[in-house]
Amino acid sequence: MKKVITFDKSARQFILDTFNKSIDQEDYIVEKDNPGQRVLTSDGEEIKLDEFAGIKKGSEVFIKSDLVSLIKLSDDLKDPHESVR
Amino acid sequence: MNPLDKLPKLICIDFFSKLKKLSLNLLSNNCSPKIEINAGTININVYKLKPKEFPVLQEVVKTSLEEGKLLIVDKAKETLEDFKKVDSQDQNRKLLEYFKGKIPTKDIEILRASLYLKNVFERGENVSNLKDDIVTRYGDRGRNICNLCSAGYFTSQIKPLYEEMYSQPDFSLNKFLAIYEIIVTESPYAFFINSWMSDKQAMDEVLKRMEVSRRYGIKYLNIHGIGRENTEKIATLLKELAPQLTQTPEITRGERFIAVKIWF
Repeated sequence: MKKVITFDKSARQFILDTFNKSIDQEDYIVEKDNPGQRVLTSDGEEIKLDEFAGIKKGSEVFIKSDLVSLIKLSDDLKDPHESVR
Repeated sequence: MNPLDKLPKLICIDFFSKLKKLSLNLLSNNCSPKIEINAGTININVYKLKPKEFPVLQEVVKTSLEEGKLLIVDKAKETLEDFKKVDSQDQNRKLLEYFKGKIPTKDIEILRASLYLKNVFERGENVSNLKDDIVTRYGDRGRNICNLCSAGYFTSQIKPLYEEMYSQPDFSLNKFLAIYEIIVTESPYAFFINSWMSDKQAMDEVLKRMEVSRRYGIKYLNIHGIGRENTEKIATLLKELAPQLTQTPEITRGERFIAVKIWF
C-alpha cells in the first residue's frame, strides 16, 4: 500500500480543514461553507468525526472506520481480477 | 509548479525532495518533532507548522488525493492491511467460495467479516469493537452469524448439513435455506452467554433454546462463554440444569473461553 498518506487521529482536523470541512454540534462532518450539509459516505451515510477513517479519490469519497466500511474499501482498492467476491 | 517542490524551502529541510520515495504520515501534538524520517516514512507534525506552511502542505495532500493516493487514519490502515491478510487465507477464501450462491449475499458479507473477527479473537486480541461494528451494520442476524462463525459452526455444522441434504434425491436449495434460516435466526445448536445477562436470564434463555432445539429434533445444545465472568455463569447453569440432562456435559476450556455440550 504505497499510494497512501496516513494521519493519526490528532491530525484529523488538519485533513478536514484541507478539504474545507468542519464539525457540527452533533459531531458530524459538514461542509464548512454550508454547515447544514453533512458529508456522506458512498453508501449515503452521515459520518461522525470519531468514525472518520479517511478520504479516497472520486469526488472526495469519505470513509468510515468500522469493519464493514473497511472491507468495502479493501474491495474498492483491490484488482477486480483477484477479488473473491 | 508541483507544491511538493515548494515544501522543502518552506520547511527548510534538504531531504524533503525525497518525499516521493517515502510514505507520508501526518500527526498533531506538541511533543513530536516537526519533521522526522523513520523507517521509510516521513512524519510531519502539523501542530508545529508555521502558518505559511499550512497551505503548502494542504496543497500536497489535495494533489496526492487527486493523483489517486488514499488518505487514511493510521489505525484504519492497520486494520485494512490485517483484514486483507486474513481474507486472503486459503481456508477463509474456500469457505466463502463454498457458501457463495448457497446462502444470501448479505450473509456472505457477514460471514467474511466474522471470519476476520474469529482470526483476531484467536490471536488473543479484543474483538468487542469489531463485533459491535458487525451488529451495528447487520443487527441480530449479524450477531448470530458472527457467533456461529466464531464457534466454527459454518464448517462443523452448516457445511455438512448442506452436503447431507444435497445428497438426497429431493434436494432443493430452498429446502436447505429454510433450515439455514432457522439456524441463523434461532441458533438451535448453540447459545452464547453474554456478560450483561444475569444468572436467571441466562438460565431462562438456555431453557428456551433447549425447547427450540427439541422442536427441531435436536437433543443437544452447545453453550459458549468468553471471559471469566461468563465461565462462572455457565458453571452455575450446569448445576441447575443437571436434573434435566441425559448425560454428563462435555466441557472444553481454553484460557479465555468455555464451550459446554449438553444432552437432554
